[in-house]
Parts: sequence; structure tokens; C-alpha cells
Amino acid sequence: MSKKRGRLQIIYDILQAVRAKGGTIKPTHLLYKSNLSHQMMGEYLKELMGKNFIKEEVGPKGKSKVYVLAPKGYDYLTEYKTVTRFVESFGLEDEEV
Amino acid sequence: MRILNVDAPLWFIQCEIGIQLIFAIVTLLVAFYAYRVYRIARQKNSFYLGAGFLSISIAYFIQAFFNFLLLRRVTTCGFLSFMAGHPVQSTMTLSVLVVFLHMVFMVAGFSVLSYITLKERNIKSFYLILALSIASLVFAANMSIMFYVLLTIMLAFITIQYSLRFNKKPTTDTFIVFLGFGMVFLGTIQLALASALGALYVSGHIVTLAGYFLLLINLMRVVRK
Repeated sequence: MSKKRGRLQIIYDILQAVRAKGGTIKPTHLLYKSNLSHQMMGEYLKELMGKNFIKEEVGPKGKSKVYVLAPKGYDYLTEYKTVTRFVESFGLEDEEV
Repeated sequence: MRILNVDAPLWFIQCEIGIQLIFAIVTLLVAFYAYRVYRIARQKNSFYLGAGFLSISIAYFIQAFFNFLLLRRVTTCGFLSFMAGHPVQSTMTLSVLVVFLHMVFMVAGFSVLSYITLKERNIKSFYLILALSIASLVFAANMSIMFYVLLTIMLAFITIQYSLRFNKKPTTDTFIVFLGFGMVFLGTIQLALASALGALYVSGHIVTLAGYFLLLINLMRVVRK
């Protein structure tokens, strides 16, 4: 049985998926890559947009929407290991999903 | 400024201010880094940890600064009159006020740290912990004893939680944090008993200092790339 992912890990996985696609990703691709249910994905996207980690924009053809990695999202990816080590050492983790 | 009437050695007075300043700086560093983590990850618990350590840092800065003023024989009444805009009757009144402020900031800080060690966190339970702690302090017949009782209970709780955490996740980081809080706990017990034996006042400071240094070492290990 695989280990449950913590909230910080899930956020990392989502942002990493966007970065791997060059910083812009379609919702369907993100859902597939992040390995979350549609409902959970929606909740995380809302949170990430609220925290200015990603932005929702209109795609190149002007029809579908895309998610774009914001500078704060890049910062999170860069500092992720330090953040998780700090959080783990002081026992600050949120509930696991 | 001493919370209890302690017969500490004279040579220790200057060291005491230095040690209190180190406590203040170390706790401020932890607070700063926790806030940095909060800025990056927008994680509330990091914010609470930062707020807790900031409160403890302010408490130590107040203590060290006032001790410094007393040592330099500055007219503290005049100082406070200038700061507050109204006259204060005596240095004694000022001492009581400063001791009270120190206690409130310490208790508030450790209340936050106790709260974040809870597995089920609810901000209402934090308000309850804080309100009960401050009320116990304000209405205590002997505020000094109540202060050390509260601090000892909170630090015992925090240390136990971090020991359980170390058992669950046995890493060097979790061990250092557990040991750090454990030493702050042991140091606080010694400081609480210092009125009976003056030597405990010195050893209490040294053990507490070692505890805070361990927390700083953990911080440096984490920050180091």
C-alpha cells in the first residue's frame, strides 16, 4: 500500500506537474498528473489560486482555460525540501490525504 | 529583574543578561524562519509557530533590556515616564510591570507552542488555553509560582508530544527538537526551584541555553542546502 501524501506534497505534485509542462497546463492534464479526484482537485486549485501559486488564464485558442505557474509557485518548488524538513522537524504537518 | 527572589552569585549577573539576549535572539531566529516558511508555503501552523517564538523572544528581550537598565543604574522611572507619557511612582512599580509583561509574553508564546503540538487543532481550543493561562496568572495569589507552574505544565506537554513524535518519526531532526524542548523544560524546572537553592539559578540558565541552542542547531541543519 502506498504512503498517504501530505498536503504540502500534493501541492508540490500539482505545481511540479505545471512546471513539467513548461509552466502552463490544461485542467484535464493536471487532473491526470496530480492523481486526485475531481472534487479534491477543484479544492486544491481554489486554494492555490487564492495563495497566488497559480493563475487561471484563457488558452491560446481563446476557448479552453489553462493554469499558469506564478512566481510564488516557482518559489514553493525551489524551497520545497527546506519547507518540508522544517515542518516535519517541528511537527507542523496538516492532515494527510 | 528576577521573577523569584533568588540568591544568585554576583558574577552571574552580567552573564545572565547575555544569556537572556541569546534566548531572545535564538527564539527570534526560529520565529523569523517559521514566518519565512509561512510566506513560501502559506501554511498556518508555521505562522503559529512563528508567532509563538516571537512572543517568547519579546519576553526575553523585555527581561534582558530591563536587567541591562538596572545594571547601568539608569533612572528607569524617568525612562518609563518618557515612554508612557505619565509618571510612575517607583522603580518597584516598573519592575512589577516589566515582570508581568515578561510573564504574559512567555505564557502566550508557550500556549501557542502547546497548541501546535495538538494533533487535532482548532483555533477555539487555542483561545481557551490562552485565556485560562492568562487568567490563572492574573488572579493567582502568588504570580511567580503560578508562572512557573504554567510554564512547567506546558513545557512538559510539549516535550511529551515531541518525544511521541520522535518515536513515530525517528529522524535526527525530530530528535534534536525533542531534546531541545526537553532541556528547556529541565532548565525551567531548575529556575522554578532556584529560590530554594541559588546554584540552580545558574544551572537552570545553562540547561535552558543548551536547549535553545539545540533548536538553533536544528534550524541551521534545515536551512543548510
